[in-house]
Amino acid sequence: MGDNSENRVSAKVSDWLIERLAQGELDPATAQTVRARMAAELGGEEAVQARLAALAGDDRATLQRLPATLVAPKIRLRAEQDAPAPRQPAPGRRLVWLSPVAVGAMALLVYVGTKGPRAGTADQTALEETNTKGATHLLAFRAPSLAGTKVEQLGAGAAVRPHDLLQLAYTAGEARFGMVLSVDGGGGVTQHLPAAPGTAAPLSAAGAVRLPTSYELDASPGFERFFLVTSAQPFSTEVVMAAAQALAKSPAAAQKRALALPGQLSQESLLLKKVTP
Amino acid sequence: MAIDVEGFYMRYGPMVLRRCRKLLRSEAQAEDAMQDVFVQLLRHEEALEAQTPSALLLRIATNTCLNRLRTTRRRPETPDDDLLLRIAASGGDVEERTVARGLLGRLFGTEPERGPSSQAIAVMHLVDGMTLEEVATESGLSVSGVRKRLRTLRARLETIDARAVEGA
Repeated sequence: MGDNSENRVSAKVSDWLIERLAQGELDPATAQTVRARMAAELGGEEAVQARLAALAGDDRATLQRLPATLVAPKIRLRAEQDAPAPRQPAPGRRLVWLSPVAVGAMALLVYVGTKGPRAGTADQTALEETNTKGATHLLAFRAPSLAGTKVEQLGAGAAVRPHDLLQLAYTAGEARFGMVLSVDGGGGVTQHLPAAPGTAAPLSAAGAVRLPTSYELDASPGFERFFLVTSAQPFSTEVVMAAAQALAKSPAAAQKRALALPGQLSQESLLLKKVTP
Repeated sequence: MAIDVEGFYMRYGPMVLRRCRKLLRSEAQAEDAMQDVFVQLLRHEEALEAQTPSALLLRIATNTCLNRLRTTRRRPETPDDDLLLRIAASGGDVEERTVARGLLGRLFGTEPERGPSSQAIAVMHLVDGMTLEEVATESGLSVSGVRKRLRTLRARLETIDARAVEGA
């Protein structure tokens, strides 16, 4: 894995994409691009069709050798044997397998996601105040263990470890467009929302909204600080990324200072402290 | 969605088998791993979306094979195979990450995320030869997120290499 590995670009179309093309599950634009690249690589459209036909032929050969009538029962049997516990809790019992903290987190999410009055605990009362103010918030949760019984919401300054798996979420409040990114103690900047550079993502006002993917912390030292940048209007993610990269150059500043952003952009951050196992 | 095992197997089984065969280089292990992939699919059937099962199945297959490679001793046959084995050895927690993602998905009442591990991303980019953009699209991450995971994995590999040198 050399230094230039991150720029590795292969002229050969990957088997992965060819399989997806053969299944007809690529979006039209990507499918067209993949076909064109295959044609260039293989020497024409006929060769592309021959490649796809070969896959179809291999499909038939496999199904003849390993027919569904033989394999499917084995899969079902293995699934039954491997099931550690009843997989689908009855309605209303989902919280049983979550820790109390996770239950609190779930209550938070359910509450923020609804508008109606709700008899509540102290935590819920606090949330009610937050909600009625239409606040914009960045939330982080952690699923730290294989045991699968702990999900915890992380507050400011919470201790985290390399390879912890985090799920970020937001409540939009009055904001309509947003961006989530993080800076770390190694000077790295990662954009989490939207997935690609360009314009900030439209935010959903439907309570707490999770980001599309979870996030595994790396081994960079010291801290990971997440930012939620929002506005009532669309804005360029490049401006925010540039500010984040400037801030990330100084680990001390990156833990405390705000991003240097245009006045119409609001920001909120959540600092997590990295500890070495 | 409820999964019609026969139907899913007939449509996607050969594709999954090819993926497992490519990574494991053993027909017997590939057939066994293929069944594991569908078992995992069944475990999460109630939360699956039907739009692009092939991407999901290829990701599960990659994670499944990496877990098997991690616990299997075999001699690399090619430079890419050597890289694949090193990537597998760099992550002892591929399944744990997957389970944890599923847990987070359930917390939010959404599909248990079956996203690729950092190791799987490295395989997609370095072994399969997919571009960063293609990996990002197929894995639902940003390009910068893919880059970061690759940097993390490279650091792990360098640590493993250093330990190997020390132990030699």
